[in-house]
Amino acid sequence: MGSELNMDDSVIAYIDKTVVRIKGVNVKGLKPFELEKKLSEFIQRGIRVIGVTGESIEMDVYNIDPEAILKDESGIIKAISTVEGITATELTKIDSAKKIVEVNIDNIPKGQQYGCQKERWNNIDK
Amino acid sequence: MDVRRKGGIILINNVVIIPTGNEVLSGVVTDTNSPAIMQLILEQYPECRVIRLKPVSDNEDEIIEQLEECIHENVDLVIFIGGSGGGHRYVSTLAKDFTHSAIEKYISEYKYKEIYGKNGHMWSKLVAARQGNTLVVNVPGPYVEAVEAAKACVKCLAENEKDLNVIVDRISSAVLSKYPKN
Repeated sequence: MGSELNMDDSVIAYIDKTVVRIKGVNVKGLKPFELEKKLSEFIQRGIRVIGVTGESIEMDVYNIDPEAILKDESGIIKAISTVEGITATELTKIDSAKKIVEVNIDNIPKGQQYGCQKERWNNIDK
Repeated sequence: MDVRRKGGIILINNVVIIPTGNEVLSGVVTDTNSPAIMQLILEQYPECRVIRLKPVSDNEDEIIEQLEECIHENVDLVIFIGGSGGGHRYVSTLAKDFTHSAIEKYISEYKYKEIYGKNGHMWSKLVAARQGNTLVVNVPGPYVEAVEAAKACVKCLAENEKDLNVIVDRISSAVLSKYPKN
């Protein structure tokens, strides 16, 4: 775990991650932790499955750049297709691999909210 | 605070686990979290009745409806699984995360802890709430985080911890501890 800024009701986790979306798979009866384990062994990074549909899988991959993910697309697809509950097809591909989006400074509310810009941005959705 | 106790010890006789998410409901994803959490509870409370309810879809009203029923039935502990992030509020392709907002809408006595990523997105919002005899918590969907969070919750109860602030703080620390290190 990276260093954290502890506030009363919130904590900021200073961790890098890339969000990877794989499309063109058939998914049924997937145990996400098995996918996390298999792929984690393959790319040597922490992984969390964050979204699954019958045709796609979305994952957080920690501490890796999108380029490294895209560079080994076939290896990654081969690794996930060995996981029970996932069937790869000829359409299977990495649809996107994006570094988590940094906060746009234009979106930071100004005015009465307390805190630094990032903390104020965090208040947008409250 | 109205907590069922015997000799000052919190009694946990009746627990309900409620997985959430359309992918769990449809069987696209197999729910491995509920059995693992059930095991944790039974290890601590062998006589406890633990029920895993039918998964609830990503719909705030349905989650509230289920919560209402549990409270009406005077359940000791309700654990919601999943739907704890910012989800659709930040990334349109992600599922709708409603467990935290549902709990906050229905129960007035609650404490929460939000975990934000450095990108400003809310990665997880953990809530501990109480109504009457019922303690309600949510845990994240990813298996390792869900189990660690539930472990922290059960430990709090075993230590007779009643302070919602402490409970939610320990649950969120448990979740944070499972994030991969830089």
